[in-house]
Amino acid sequence: MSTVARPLPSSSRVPGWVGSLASTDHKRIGLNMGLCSLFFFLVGGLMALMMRTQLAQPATHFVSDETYNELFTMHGSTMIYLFVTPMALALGMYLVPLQIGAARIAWPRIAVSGFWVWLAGGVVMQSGWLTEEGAGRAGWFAYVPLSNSSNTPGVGQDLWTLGVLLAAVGMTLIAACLLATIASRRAPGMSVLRMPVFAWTSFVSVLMVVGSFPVLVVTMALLYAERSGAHIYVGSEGVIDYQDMFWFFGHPVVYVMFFPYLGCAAEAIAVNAHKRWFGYKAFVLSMLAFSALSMSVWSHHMFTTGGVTNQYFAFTSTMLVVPAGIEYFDMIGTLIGGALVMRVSMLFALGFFIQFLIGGLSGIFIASPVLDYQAQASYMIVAHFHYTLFAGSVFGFFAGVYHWFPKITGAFLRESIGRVHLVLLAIGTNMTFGPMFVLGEEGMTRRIAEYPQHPGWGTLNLIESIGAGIIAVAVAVFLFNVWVSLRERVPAGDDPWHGHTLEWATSSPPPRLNFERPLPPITSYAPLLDLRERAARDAGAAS
Amino acid sequence: MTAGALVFSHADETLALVVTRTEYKRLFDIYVPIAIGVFVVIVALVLFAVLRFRRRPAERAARRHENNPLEATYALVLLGVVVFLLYLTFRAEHRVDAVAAEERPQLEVNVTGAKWEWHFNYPGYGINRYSGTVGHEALVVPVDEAIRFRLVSLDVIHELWVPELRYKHDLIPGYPQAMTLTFPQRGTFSGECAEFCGLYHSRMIFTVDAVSPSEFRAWTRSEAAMAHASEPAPAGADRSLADRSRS
Amino acid sequence: MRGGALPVIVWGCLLGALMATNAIWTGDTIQIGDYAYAMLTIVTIVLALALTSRRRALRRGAPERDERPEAVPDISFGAALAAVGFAALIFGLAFGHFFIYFGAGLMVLGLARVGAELRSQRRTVELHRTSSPSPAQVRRERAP
Repeated sequence: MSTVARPLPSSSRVPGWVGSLASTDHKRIGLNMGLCSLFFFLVGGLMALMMRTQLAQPATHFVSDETYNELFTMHGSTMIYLFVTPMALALGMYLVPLQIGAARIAWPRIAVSGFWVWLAGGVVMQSGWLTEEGAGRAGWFAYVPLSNSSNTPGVGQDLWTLGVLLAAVGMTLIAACLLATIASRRAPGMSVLRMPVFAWTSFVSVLMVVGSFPVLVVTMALLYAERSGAHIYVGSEGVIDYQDMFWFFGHPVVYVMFFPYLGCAAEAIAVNAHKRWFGYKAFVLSMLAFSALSMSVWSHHMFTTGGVTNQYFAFTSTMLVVPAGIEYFDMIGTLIGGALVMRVSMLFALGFFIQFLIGGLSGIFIASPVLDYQAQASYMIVAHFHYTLFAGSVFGFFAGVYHWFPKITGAFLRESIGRVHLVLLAIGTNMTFGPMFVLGEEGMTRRIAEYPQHPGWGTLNLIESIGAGIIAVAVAVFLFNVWVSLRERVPAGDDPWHGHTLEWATSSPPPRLNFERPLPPITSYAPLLDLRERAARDAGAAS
Repeated sequence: MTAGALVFSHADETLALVVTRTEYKRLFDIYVPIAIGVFVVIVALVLFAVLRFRRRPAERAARRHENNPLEATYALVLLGVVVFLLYLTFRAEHRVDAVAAEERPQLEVNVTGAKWEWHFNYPGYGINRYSGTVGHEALVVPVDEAIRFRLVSLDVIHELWVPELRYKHDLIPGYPQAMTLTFPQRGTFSGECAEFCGLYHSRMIFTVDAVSPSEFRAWTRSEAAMAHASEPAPAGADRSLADRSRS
Repeated sequence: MRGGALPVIVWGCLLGALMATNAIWTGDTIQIGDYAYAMLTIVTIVLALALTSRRRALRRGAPERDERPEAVPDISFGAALAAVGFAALIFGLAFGHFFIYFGAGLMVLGLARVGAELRSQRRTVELHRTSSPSPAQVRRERAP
């Protein structure tokens, strides 16, 4: 595929917004999916605020028990199925073809279908709120037998089940399309060992998606059949089997919700350090190991069931230390010796690495069954995954946003407003999720609409609820930043940050077929940096 | 049965009872300092890099971008840490799961969980205690004795958690299981259902009164005496476990 | 399309080793089944790559230039329609037979439309091949 694609002029036009809904341009699909994911983030965030209001004190009675159970189910489901995961895929859909020098994606119609099936799944899932018995309320994981039709009756839970199924199908289609693109549309010279860091994180993520999301589709289909009267998950074996199948998806998904944002933070750090990412080959190998391991740890969610061999999963879960350590080594190696510019994207990226570390270390803690026997189903787990997914991935997400916003829109995001956004978000995040470690250790169970009077619990929960309010303010500041930056545009040009990778070698935003000028020679995973370094060397040699 | 059992059986057993809280604390006291140490080192390195290397001209950025021998060595060191942590974990888990299961219990308690109440039955004494949405009768236990809890669920998955003991286990419908716990000190402790089980999951709580063995025997005798007076089921337990277990 | 299969093969080997360890350590049928599905995906991907690119996928190195002209679809109402139809069909399982039929109908319409789009794409490439001398140009194709 020639990477210089010169389109012939088209003779007629389809109305702009209608066409953009069915566009086969990967940038449009990525934007559509990303904007919808952001909308769902706000919806899920609203649910979180309602939950935190309920929990601010021991007996607020802000919502009924039933509503609270719907809230935590839908909050988790919205954040996982409709925000963090699809946003990761959307970022990949937008950026990976650019980074690998492709003019377009492979299988564009599959990508269009994938977006629409996913979006429909989100709508179907949320439509449960409008039903008589309410939205899904058996948890985002819907264990049997609680999630069957006798224990959780009503069409809202049915709609939840089908909504998850559709969302999973949609995301699998998007991932398959990205895999095909990476396999078949890399530019001449772009060997797999010259793919940029973000592209590699997306690559292993889509491998995990196609390798595990279809299992969720089957699990949900069988759950729906069970709710319609079939006897699928029968007896105690059915209970364990459901969990084995669900978590075979349920663990890899959290790595899909982590790796691409690690890629965002890595790209932001490298560019802002004026230094290519350190230890690329070790990084690539460790990403392959990391993702293979992530497919092998799932029953650590089942340590207390007595139905699995805890030691195998303690082994695989603790082994995660090795690839994770390599990522941190590479991050430090990139920073040291660099020429660091502390832009907002860099600050968010550093925030990602530091805060994610808290989540990751707590993960190694609970990888030990004896420690997990205390922590499981308590607020320690809630703290752990919010540190990895929110204090980690969402900070990585914002690093990516501040880094690539100029490329996508042609305008800068305001740095000054960005700093306010960052500081508020950091304060709010740690206020909300830090005390949860203490509460969990002291015995506060998760998924409870009310907690008993215990010394200190009311105070800690109040601090957490105030923190959640601060997070909301921070998000509002971000939205304000976007609005201001688009209204009074400060043009960014093609390559405002002196980027390393091919997306910076085209206009902002890129044209329909991505590259109108010939690509620079692809000599490594940082081709633009290679060019600059060679030019500096030649200039030095000439003088 | 498992690799851990093969490696550790007869290696670390003592005559003392397995105390889950002690096993947890031993691991906690190693895992947490290591984690804090790692965190401090990484943050210090990041801070050092940020302070030392910012506001430099871009041309001064170093060109070296890999050190594979160093990374390989580092990976091996990490692997060593993993092996160390796994050794400690497997040893503790063997004690908590396998060794404790082989202790001869001095007391047996049948635990039945159903939405949204706990039924504790002492088969040796014919005593029944109920807690949850039906009311709150404490589970009374003797300290320093191995207590075997037989766990049964009548409907959905529940989970018995006593945070004081740092231990919980699932009650899975159709899959009766047993766990063995020892309370190392007297007191009143909270207990809860830790697996989301539906509408009133948050009300499925209980308390544990851990008393001295002599107080426990005295309590069983007084309970037996009161049972002769045909005590009715606790108030509000219309369709509750209390009735179901009596039929 | 060179080298695309190699990382997938490496990943497959890592996963295979973990699967074998699990099988020996736990002997748990459903867990082996889970792993087996993932291995099946890997095998399918590698086979698909090997068959479509005839051994180039398995060779190390960077892709070469490919000067074949392509028709690039701009929009695909067919794909969007088929997707919404599929979702409506699934929604209908919970909410009423009307949606099942409606969704199936939309799917058929959408897939038919996709067929038409693909035919138009192929026609464009053929026309271009017979008329234009420059192989490096790509025509942007609008759905009819």
